[in-house]
Amino acid sequence: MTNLGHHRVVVIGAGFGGIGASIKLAEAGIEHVILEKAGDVGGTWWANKYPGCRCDVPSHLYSFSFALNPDWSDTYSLQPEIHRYLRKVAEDYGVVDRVRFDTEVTAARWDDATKRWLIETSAGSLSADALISAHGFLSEPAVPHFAGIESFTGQVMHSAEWDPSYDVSGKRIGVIGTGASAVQIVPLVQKQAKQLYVFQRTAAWILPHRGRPIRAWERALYRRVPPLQRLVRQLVYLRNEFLILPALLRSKRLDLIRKMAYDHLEAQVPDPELRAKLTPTFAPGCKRLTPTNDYLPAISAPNTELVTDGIKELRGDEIVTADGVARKLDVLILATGFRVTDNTFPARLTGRDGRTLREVWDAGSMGGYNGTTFAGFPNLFMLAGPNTGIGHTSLVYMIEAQLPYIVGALQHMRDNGVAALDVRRDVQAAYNEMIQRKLRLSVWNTGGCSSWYLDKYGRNSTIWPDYTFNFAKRLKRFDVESYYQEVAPTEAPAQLVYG
Amino acid sequence: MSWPDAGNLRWTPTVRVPADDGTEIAVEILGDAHPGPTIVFTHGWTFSSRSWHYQRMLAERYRLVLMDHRDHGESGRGPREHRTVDQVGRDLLAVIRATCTGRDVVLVGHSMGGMTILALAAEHPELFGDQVRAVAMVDTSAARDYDDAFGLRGPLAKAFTKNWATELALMVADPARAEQRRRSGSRVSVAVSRFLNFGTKPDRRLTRFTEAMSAATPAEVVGDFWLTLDAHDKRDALATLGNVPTLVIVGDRDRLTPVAHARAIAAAVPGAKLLEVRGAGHVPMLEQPEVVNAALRELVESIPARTADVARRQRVRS
Repeated sequence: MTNLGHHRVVVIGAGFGGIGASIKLAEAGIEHVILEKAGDVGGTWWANKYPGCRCDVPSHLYSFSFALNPDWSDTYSLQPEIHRYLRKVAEDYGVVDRVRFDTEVTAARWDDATKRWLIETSAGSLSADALISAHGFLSEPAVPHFAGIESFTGQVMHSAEWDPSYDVSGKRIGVIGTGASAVQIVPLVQKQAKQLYVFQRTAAWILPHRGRPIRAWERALYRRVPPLQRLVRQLVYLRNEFLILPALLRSKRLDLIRKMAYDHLEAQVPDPELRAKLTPTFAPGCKRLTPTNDYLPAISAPNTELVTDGIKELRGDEIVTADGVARKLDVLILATGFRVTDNTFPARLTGRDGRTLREVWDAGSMGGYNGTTFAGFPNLFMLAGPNTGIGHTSLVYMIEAQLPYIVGALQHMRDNGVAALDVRRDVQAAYNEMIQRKLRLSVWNTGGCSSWYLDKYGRNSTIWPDYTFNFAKRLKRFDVESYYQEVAPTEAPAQLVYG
Repeated sequence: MSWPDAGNLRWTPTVRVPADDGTEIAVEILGDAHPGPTIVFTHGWTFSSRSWHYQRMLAERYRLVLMDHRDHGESGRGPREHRTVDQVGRDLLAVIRATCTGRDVVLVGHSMGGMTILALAAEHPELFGDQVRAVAMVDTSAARDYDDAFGLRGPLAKAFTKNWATELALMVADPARAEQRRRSGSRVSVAVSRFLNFGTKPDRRLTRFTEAMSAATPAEVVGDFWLTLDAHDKRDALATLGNVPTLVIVGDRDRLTPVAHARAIAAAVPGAKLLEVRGAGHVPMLEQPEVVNAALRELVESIPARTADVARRQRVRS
């Protein structure tokens, strides 16, 4: 295996997390390298190329606070534009030069003897004093298993593994799923399809989409007067914090959202029978809210059939539902989302006692401290880790809130000759108790749905249950008192260890 | 748990262990019925075993042994020339032998108590990894640093350091007069004790208790032991602690044995873990007992099973 040497910090992934981390590490003068499995930066915004892919968080908010983009062409950006933005930020800040592309991390193991992470990749092995895992919240496609899928003669594509060269026009198309990606894919493929089947297990809450193109003069204004864009961003942020979050967190005033969605449904779907099928049975917000103006009309279109019977099997070129009906398909689109609470990447991270993070999580529950560190996994920092997700604002905000904490930890190590930082178990346990206490009444826990927010124990291990500015406040300073430190022997002074 | 009582420092020893020179060492045993390792606590300079007030609750889970050093608390007076850290280290050994036969031991030492553990390690390195299975060093030092000035700077540092030296010299030279000058329990005395021992915003009940505990230690004893602390250098013994899980705890506002001392210990003991307690001074076990107790519990639980134990358990299973 090729030896790729030693680095102070290895960052896994070059999406929002990895790029942000690299910029802040460079500012603090901390040497590092980024390992990216793909051939380009962008992470989930590089991988997801399905038609209509768009961020459901307002553009002004969905960007780094230190690199605002006055050129967003729409109040809700499409994927190519977000990817271009990330690419530009990565180039402007010199991040691209620090990325090792086409290098997938296959295993990383903490070595207690040398106080280092030993990392195996598809391109060779390397070691690091610290590991920042920015492998992504939504990075691993969730692929449901259907009987007979191996013998299915049509094309199968997951939304996150879309083949742009595949032409859907004139085809018989099946879409499985009704979540955030399905509501974006369906309207676009419906227009070109000969016949479209949408397989729905649970009806989603469809809200009116308020997006609109940003006019040229607005963009010119943002370019000339950056504080103005900052103000708009701040207003969007505050609206989401104080209007949407309290409703989700305490399951209150959800009737407003319900009424908005019902009105929307009534206006867009005239057929009462279809409307009944499209009416959700759980509280709005329990699953991620999906705003769109095009999905419901596409479902009502003559070439679309909404199938609510469960899928039994695939057979040749047919998909068979539980009621025995077989439908012929050319392509099956899996808009089935991502493995979040059962992401397998943590199975590649092995801690102090020889267990992987996945094993630790499976034995108890997916959890950590400050969404960032994990007892028994020294010098491991995760971006967008457990309970850093949100349903009301931008994940980029959460990632940015984690960065000063991680940089603070690495600076503490450098300045004090600390070789290892391991979070106290009692602190981590108390933190997770606090999180679960706060989530008890939230719509995610009480809304009566199964969602990717909940793990196999039914525990909500994805959502941050408070205002996001409180998360940022918590992580502003690195709290060394919550960690066991291992001091590097004085024979090898700090300068030597950290080169 | 209630506050420690400044007005009631006396206690009744469970046993009195004779030291090698005949001096009686007062020992309290708590949670005697618990199997598993015994945690032996050894206190700091001018303090007594009462400084472990909040660690007594660990007796719910573990067997605890608390000792008063010679000439401190309920222990007997020994000869003046035996007031050394090395002798206290031998006293600790006597206590372990008398109270922990056939049992694993976790040593917890605060300040001079930590130095006591190092003295034991220097004389009996073979115990560490054998009977002694883990060590916690709380706000202590492996060697005196003559540049320490109680976190003070400039002329204030000089004045305080000079006064400190004068007072202690008087305690050695003329203990009776020094005793008179101490004015124990006075506002000034409490303020000085608070300044030296505590971090941010200590409760008054704690500062008064700590001052009272120190005041109960005779001036002569304070002075004599200072001489031995002043000459203290047990850095060579640190490597011995590497044979067992070692936890180093320090208040990040400690003025008597600042963080640098803890860090030096953690650097010299292979595999040692360092825990900085935020806002605490020299007495985190009194200031933030929940942090110290949680860390001690984790230390005890981290003790690796003996190979013999493992073998026995496997035999039982099969």
